[in-house]
Amino acid sequence: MNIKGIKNDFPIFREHPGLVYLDSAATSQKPKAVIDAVANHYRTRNANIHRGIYKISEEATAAYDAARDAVAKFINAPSSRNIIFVRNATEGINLVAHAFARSRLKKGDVILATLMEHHANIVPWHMLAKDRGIKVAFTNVTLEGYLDEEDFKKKLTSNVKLAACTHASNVLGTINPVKRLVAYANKKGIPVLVDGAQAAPHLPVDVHDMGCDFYVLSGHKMLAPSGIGALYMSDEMIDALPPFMGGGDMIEAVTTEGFTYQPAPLKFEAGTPAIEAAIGFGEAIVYLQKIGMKAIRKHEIELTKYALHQMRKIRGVTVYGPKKAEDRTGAIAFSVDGIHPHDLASLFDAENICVRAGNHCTMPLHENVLGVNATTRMSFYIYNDMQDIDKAIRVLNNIIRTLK
Amino acid sequence: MSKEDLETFRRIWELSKDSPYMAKMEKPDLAFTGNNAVCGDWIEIAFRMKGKKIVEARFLHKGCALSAVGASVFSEFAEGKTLEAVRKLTPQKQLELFGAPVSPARSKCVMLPLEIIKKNPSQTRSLKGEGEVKLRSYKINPSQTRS
Repeated sequence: MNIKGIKNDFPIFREHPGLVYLDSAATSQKPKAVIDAVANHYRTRNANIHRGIYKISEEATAAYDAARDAVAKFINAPSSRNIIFVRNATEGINLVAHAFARSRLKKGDVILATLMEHHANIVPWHMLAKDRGIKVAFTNVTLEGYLDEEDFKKKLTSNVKLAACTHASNVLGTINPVKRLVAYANKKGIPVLVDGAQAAPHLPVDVHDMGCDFYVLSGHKMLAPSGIGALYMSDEMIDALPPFMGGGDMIEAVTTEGFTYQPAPLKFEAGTPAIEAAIGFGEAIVYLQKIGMKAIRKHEIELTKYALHQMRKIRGVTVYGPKKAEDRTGAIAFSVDGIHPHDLASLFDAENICVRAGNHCTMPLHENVLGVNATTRMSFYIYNDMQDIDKAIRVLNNIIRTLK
Repeated sequence: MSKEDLETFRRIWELSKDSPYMAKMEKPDLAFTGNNAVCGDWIEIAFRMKGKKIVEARFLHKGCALSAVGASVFSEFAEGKTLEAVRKLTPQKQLELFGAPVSPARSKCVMLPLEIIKKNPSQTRSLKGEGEVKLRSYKINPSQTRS
């Protein structure tokens, strides 16, 4: 991978020379190609999609549909009709929570989540629990930062109606064996929702091979604009589940008595979507595919391996998550004895290094597994290089030396 | 980061570990507690009163150096003043007491004592004669962002 060339594709690094951006797990930077695709849409074919009987509307519709095709191919969905555009992974999970719950859940049913979920894959289930009298259970995480598979199997009881699991943890970096987890659950007839927000930007994803019923991803974490994400639904679910939101675009006909709705995926897309963002999403996928997801994964393993090695040499630093770089993404949460994560992040910022501090929307993980209420996190992406890590380690060493 | 920046932080950090106001007050007359839901920082500020005046202020703290020093300078300011006067402390004045530049993202750490004292007067409880009373904590800013 030509990292130097890649960095040049991202205007933010020209605007801020020397910027070390280590917060891609929160959001990624955007390449010029994506920024241009969004601007180009507004400049050349801005119109609402689907119903316009004129050329630029037809062109906008074609570009929007092409983006859906790109997402489908990117995660190896059987067809673009299995891809629903949403605002982000969070909205995708909420859509499933509403559509699935309304048609399938009753009092006493259980949703099985895991302790390493982002709040986005916990709170919608808690909300259901409150409204519909269902329960939320959690699979444990081992001290090494792996999902406890035996505990997962044990908790797949007959009351469990859906299992919800992240593909990769945004704190531990752990890549979960989702194909195996789906197989365990499906054997008992339990569908699985996989949160791919932290995986799809970093490794090859194949939902067909995985066998999951739901897979969600956020565009903004994978070079696309914010406000666009995707929800994959299996053929069985996408036809069986009722619509979530009602409005324009999702309907077939409306009378004073009621309405009929479009086939999938349009039945789940009420109202004018983020057209330009979807087009940007398509362009981001083209960009990622040009580099190749295998090459991206290889690059991130190298960075992660190097960073883990360097960090473990520093006294007073605790690194969370699996020790093996091959088992994780480049999201590395850590603690430094005696220095609060927010203070540490401010000190990094003073050196033009962006890291994140806090609970990273994983309060249950911090409280039940890590035993601290906040951590500092570095996370890498395609534009990061060894020099970025060297600088971060140098700064970290300097901070610790000064404060001891 | 310049040497001065790191040196300034080192002074803040040292005070956060060694503030003369950081101590548990036995049977305070007034106590306020609260946390910042965004980062989980928690402080408790306790006052000993003589008439309307605060004669002693102490705090307990769990969190970053900025919120500890924010509570420390706040406690120092409170001693000798009325509760009413303390509640009138402005954010600008609190930053002045703090004495070092603070970025917008971190100012909420320094402002935590003000938030607790001002926004939650219902939590003010006279503890006199009640022995140990556990005060309910509250959230200042419940907003959570996906990260």
